[in-house]
Parts: sequence; structure tokens; C-alpha cells
Amino acid sequence: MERVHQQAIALVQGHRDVQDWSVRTVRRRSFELYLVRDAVESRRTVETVRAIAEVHRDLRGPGGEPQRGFSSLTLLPEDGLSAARAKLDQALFAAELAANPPYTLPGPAPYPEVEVWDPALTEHPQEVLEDLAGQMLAQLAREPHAGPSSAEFSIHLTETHLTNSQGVEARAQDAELFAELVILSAGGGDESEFYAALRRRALKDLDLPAEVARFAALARDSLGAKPPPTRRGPVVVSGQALVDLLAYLRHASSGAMKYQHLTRWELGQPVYGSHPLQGDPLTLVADATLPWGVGTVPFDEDGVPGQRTLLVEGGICRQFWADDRYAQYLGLPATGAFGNLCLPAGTVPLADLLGEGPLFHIVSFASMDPDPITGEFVGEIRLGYDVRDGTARPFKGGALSGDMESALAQVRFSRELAFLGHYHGPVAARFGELAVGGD
Amino acid sequence: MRQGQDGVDWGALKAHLPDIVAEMERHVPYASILVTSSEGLTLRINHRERQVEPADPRQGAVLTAWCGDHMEEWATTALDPDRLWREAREFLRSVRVAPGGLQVDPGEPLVAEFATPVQIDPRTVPLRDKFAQCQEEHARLAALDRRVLNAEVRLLESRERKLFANRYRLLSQEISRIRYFLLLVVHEGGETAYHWHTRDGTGGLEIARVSEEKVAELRDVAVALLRAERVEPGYYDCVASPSVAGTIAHEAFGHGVEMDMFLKGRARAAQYVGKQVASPLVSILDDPTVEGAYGSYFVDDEGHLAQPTYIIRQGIFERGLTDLYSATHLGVVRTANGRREAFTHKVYPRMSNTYFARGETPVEAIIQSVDRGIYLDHLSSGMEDPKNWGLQVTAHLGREIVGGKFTGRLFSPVGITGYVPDVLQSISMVGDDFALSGGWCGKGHKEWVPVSDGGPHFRFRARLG
Repeated sequence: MERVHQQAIALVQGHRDVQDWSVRTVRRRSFELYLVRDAVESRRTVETVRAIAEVHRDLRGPGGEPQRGFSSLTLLPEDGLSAARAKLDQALFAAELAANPPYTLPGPAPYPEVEVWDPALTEHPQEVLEDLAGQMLAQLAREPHAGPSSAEFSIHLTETHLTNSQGVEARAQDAELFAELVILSAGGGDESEFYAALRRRALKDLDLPAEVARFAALARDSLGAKPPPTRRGPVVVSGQALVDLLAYLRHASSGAMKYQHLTRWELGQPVYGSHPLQGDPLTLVADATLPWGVGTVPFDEDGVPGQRTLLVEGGICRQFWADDRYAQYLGLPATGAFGNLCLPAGTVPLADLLGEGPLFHIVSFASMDPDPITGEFVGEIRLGYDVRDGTARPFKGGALSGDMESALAQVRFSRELAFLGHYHGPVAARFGELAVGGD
Repeated sequence: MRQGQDGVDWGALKAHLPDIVAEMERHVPYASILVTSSEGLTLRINHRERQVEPADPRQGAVLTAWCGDHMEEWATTALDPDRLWREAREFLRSVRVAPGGLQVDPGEPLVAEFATPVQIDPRTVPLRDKFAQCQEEHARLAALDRRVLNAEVRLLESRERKLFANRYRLLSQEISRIRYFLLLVVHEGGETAYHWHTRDGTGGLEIARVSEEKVAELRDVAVALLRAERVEPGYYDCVASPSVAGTIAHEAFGHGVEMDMFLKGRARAAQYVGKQVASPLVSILDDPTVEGAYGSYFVDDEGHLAQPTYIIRQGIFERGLTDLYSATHLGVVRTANGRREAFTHKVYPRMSNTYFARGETPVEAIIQSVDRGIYLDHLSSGMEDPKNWGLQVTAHLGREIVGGKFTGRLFSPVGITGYVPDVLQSISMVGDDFALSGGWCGKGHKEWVPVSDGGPHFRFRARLG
């Protein structure tokens, strides 16, 4: 790893056509285990090393105005000198074409101590994977009307070394656990499944037997469930389904999107557009320092320190998150990597959010991907509950639709919090009125 | 030593891989090696910035050992033959073989090389010329309308070279892909809308051309979307464009018949082999041999030669798509659908080019037949649900039809959901046109491979929301 890192630096440093440069070398080792039902389908070991060098050239525009262009090249350990030089020549020519307004690279800065390397994962990763598989199967053996369909477990160990022409010299290592589970249930002549994907940095943050028990219960709830009635009204969205819906916030608050004129958010303005606030005012934090957060990093790809940034307060946009270049273009402080999506606790207990029916409670989407530009969304519901008259009847199918601006203007957040890998915030949210299309 | 432009000594690898496989098979019942190398470029120009970025050179090898009941794999960036030998020996030390076990069919002996035919090889066109084309295209888009807020042109070119070796086969292929993407974002009266157009395929830069007519259509639709409404949830008579038709084929009867799902108990389709699942007007195929299609290839990543597969023939479900593992465990004939996102990723049964077969009804007649319904166009996204056999497709655009004519009313976005057999059995008219469009397919939310889908227009009934 060090050899290719130094090779990349030697290639770009001092080159007459390179005014600024950075080299980021990444070594990644992955250990993977795949199960079909209760049998091993595959075991895999993967190791890669690559050095990504960025070259930045100062240029002049047609009217003599200063410009800067950049491009990159990726060096592999097997690249000889001639291959490396050929890649550099192409990158320099590309940088000359890709002329943009000028900017500078970040310099050295103190980096936060972050918790992203769990020895419980890293010391014997293959054994950890086998143990997790065993835990899953053991729990499912205890679950009525539930069994394994498939599972994928992997541990990824990453080392990063970053050096740039402004004096940045930074190293980091992180570990990530990924688990994808599909639980089957059968009964009453019907079959169902529940799919879940989990990412964690610390083994202690994954109580796999408890998660498997929860997923098995959700799979059982799906048995015999039919599409919901079509209805506009209150909708509670919880857990990963809520995280999927709130992913829009990362795009809307992005400096890159702001620079491209692709977000409607404005500094100092409400994030609800023309919709009057009828719920909890939104507070949004991008936190790259959250302990054991999947998005946690000590520095971003340019060397900007990881930090905790208040983006929205009381429904008002206070800041865009941006890397160093977009921050300079927008005249804003560089915030570095987005990190983890964090919201403070709401004021309403979950039981109260669910108490005033009739309403729909959605716990899983097949796919929910709000449009990053317009905020419109439509997503099929994998599992939800029709809550009325004191009962919660499971349903599956149908689609939730709406737009994020009006939805955020009428949301109440739960008092209870959840940590879901790259999210820390209310476990549920109630939207005053959304449309569910069903039968 | 003869090296490719990617710095890989393919000649040396061809000489060594069969011997490394033979050494591996002294320890395991079956072994194979796949070497991959990719290169490419993305040019991106919009109102605010320009980017010229090389593609990630996914260069490495994956050694596969079949151990009787499961696979063991070792993926490495080492492509120097000496180092590959050392890594193979180290890999074999960790492999555990199950006694007995299933036998893998290595295929008939074959040594062959394949390459995508191209008219304009991107490597022969100077980067400056490609950049100039994108700049001119961007200028054309920017001048289309005073309401244009941003316009973006993206040219993606990629070349992927693969070498597969097992006991009897040494197969290499070079696939060239192009994707040319135009995005128009318009703004008026506080509303923002956008539309896009894509041209893609396997081939050369001859693909990266968009007609004036298509550019004008791009503008007209983007502006019209400023006043798009939300469709009232409910059941509708629908006409699917080839883009939407293809996604229905892909999500409903593509993912649903990837036969790892059969092994995992996740595919309701497994109960319907040989049974009527669609209107007799419906045939669906998966075919990696379609010339020029974005998802095409010559050999899958497990050394199986590409061939078409009839999934549904005249409404009857015939068979699914396999990789080596699923075919071996299910005891079925393999199809050429074992694919990886990269050498760092596992193989799964994956689609290639998946489409409805052409019918006989003129498209105008299909639209005229609808008394009240929605024309669905321009796929936005889709997601599979093989267990419930549910369908979820989002169309970017819906046009109202009343009395067989478009009313001018637009809806966006439009979610299409339903139970797959109901949707397919409701197909009552199939068009005599045909088109494919390319994109990237994930298994869930990961494992991305290039594919295409499409077909003709058809009339059907579905729940929209």
C-alpha cells in the first residue's frame, strides 16, 4: 500500500503542469459469507489496493479569467512506470478541458478521534461471520412459522492514506459489518418473506437474535395480508422505512445540488416551500463524528475534518453541507462529508403517534426513493398496518405518494430514538395527510 | 511481453491460467479463474461545471473453487502470473472440500475470442473532439427555452475485457459500451421539472447521437411537466411504452425467475413452471446476444456461451435464468446468466436484455382502443418482489387518454403496482413496434450490472398511484 502511495506522489509532485494534487490510497479487505437456506453457498475473500491521484491545473479562460481544471487517475500496484505516466498524461489533458472556477485544496487540520474500528470485528472476521450465521439460524429455529431463505454477511476493513500538496497527511482505518437477511414465513396456505439490510460499525450494535425475532414477526404479519384501501389521511412511518423517506434531506441540503440550482432550499428560508408549518419544526444535523456511525469519518476525500453540522434549525435552512470546492463556490464553510443523518427527539410518545386512528403505519417499503430535485415520491409498501378501532391489520402492496415539502410541514416526530447505522433520530414520524393508493 | 493498453499481459495470462486451474483441481473437484480489466471515461458538462473523469479500472482476478456443495472464492488485484500462482496456492490452503457432492459440468472444450463490433472506436477519437461534441450539445440544450434552469450532457464510454479459464475453456471477450445522456431542468413560477433522453448500447461513438426531433421532444415534455398533476390512485386501462413495458418484463418476470430465488424459496414463479401466467399474446425473452444492446455479451462470467432464453412463450412460463450454482443444485440446464458486478463481487443469476416479443397491432390502434386511461412512458425506477409476485414500477410520465386521444393532461410521477399474473393476463393488445433501452440493474440495492429491457407498446390494466 505504501509503495503505490509513494509511487503516485512521485508521479504528480513537482510536475510542471500540476499546481495542486492529492493522493488517496485505499486498501480494502473483505470477508464474505453467503447462505442459501441453512447451507453455505459461498465464502469469499477479497483484497484490493488502489491509489487515486487528483491533479489540479491552473488555466485561463477565453477572457483571461483564472480557471482551474481537475481530473484523476487510479494507480494499481501492478502498474509499471510507463502505464502510470500514460494515465497521468490522460488526466492532465482531461484537467485542461474540465475548466471550472478556481478553488484551493484544504490544508492540514486537526482531525477528530472517531470510533469506527471495532476489534471485535477486525481480529477474527471470518469467525465473526460464521458465528453470526449460527446465531441467525439458532434464532430462526426458535421462531414459529419462520425459516431462513438466504443471508449474506460481510466485514469490510479499510485503510486510507491521504496526502496532498497543501500539507495534508492523514491516515484512517475503519471496519464495517453488513448483513442482508431474508426470512420466510408460511401458514394458512400462504407464504411471505421479510427482507432487511443492516450496516453497523460495532458488533455490540447488532443484537442479531433480537433483530431476527423482529423480522420473523414481520414476516408472519405479512401472511395473508392484502393491499390496503385507497385513502388519504394520517400515515406513521417508522424504522428503516422512515430513513428511506428522509434520505431526501441529504440531497436537498447538499451544496453540490445548491451550486447546480437543483435544490429549492435557500439559506434563512423555511424548508417547507409555501406550505404552512402544522407539525414539529424540522431540525437536521449532518454528523460525521457520531460514535460508530456508518457515515462517520475523521476526514473526507479532500482532507476536510469530519464534523457535526447543523443544517436546519426550527424549519429554517442554516447551512448546506459541502466539500471544500463547492463550499468555496458558494461562499460557505466547508463541512466535509455528510456523515450520518441525525434528528433530535420529538415530543410525542410513539404510542400516542399511533393512537389516533384511523391511520396507516408503514414499516417497510419495497423501494422508496424521493426525487432529489422535486421532492415528489411514490413507493410501494412491503408491509404496513391499517390502524383503526384499536386494531392494527397488516397489509402489503399499495403505494405511498406525496411530496417532501408538504410532508415535512405536517410531521410529528416520536420521542423515542433509534440508531440505524447511518441514522440517529426519532424511531417514527406521523405525517398529517398523505395518499395511500391501494384497492 | 505483450501488454494491452490497460497494462495487463493478456498473453502471459492465457499461457498460465489453464495450468493454475489444473493445479487448483488437484485439490477441488472444479475450478475456474476470471480476469477482468475495464477502462473508460465520463464527460459531464452542465451550466455550472465540467468534469472529465476516467472510470474506475476494475482490474483483477477471481479464483473460484467448487467444493462439492459450495463455492470458495479469492479475489485479488494480482495479475502478474507469478504472483497469481502464489495467491492460488495460498487460497487453496484455506479451502475445505465436502466429500461426495454435486458434479459441475465444465462445458465442451472451447478456445475463443470475441469483441463488440464498433463503427467509431472511442479510442480513435481524440478526447478534445468528444469534449467539443458535449459542449455543442450542451449549448443546444441551453438555448432551447428561456425556462431552462440547467442542462446536462453526459457521455460515458467503457471497455471491459474478460478472460475466463476452466478445465476445458479459455474464452476472452472485449465489450465496448456507450451511454449518452441529456438532462433538461426547467423552472417557472416556483415549479421545477425535468426530463431526460438517453441513447445507449454496445458499440462505439456512433451511438452518441441525438436527433433534432428528440431534442425538441425533450424540451416539450420538460416544459409540459411543469404543470403535471398527480394521478388519482386507482385501477386504470393503460398503454405501456417500450420503456415501461421493458421494466415490467424486467421487474415482474426477470428478477422473479432468477433461479437463485427458487433455491431460496423466494420465487412464487417456481410453482408455475409450465403453466399459463400471462395472456397468450405475451412472450418474454432474455437474450445476451442482441446485437448492439446495452446488456449484451458473448460469454457469461462463468464461461457459458451467450444464448437467448424464452422465459414466457405465448403466455406459458417455460423456465428461469441460472448461474452455475443454481443450475447445479436445481439440476436444470444452464443459461448464460451468471454475472458479477466486478471481480470483487459474487456471481448471481442476472438478466441481460429482457423484453416482450413484438406483436402485430399498430401502436395507433392500441391508443385509439382506450376509452379512458393513461399512457405510461419513461421509466423512472423499478423494484422486484419475487415472493409476493408484486410489481412496482415508477413511470416518470403519464398522459391521459380519453376517447382514444391524448387530452394533453400529464401526470408525474406515476407508480404502477399490482400482482404480476393479473397484470400480464390483462395484456389485451401487443404492438408491432420494438425498442430497447439500457441501464443498470441491481439485485436489491447492490450488485450493479449493465442491462437493457423493452419490447413493443401494449395495453394492460394496473393499479396506479
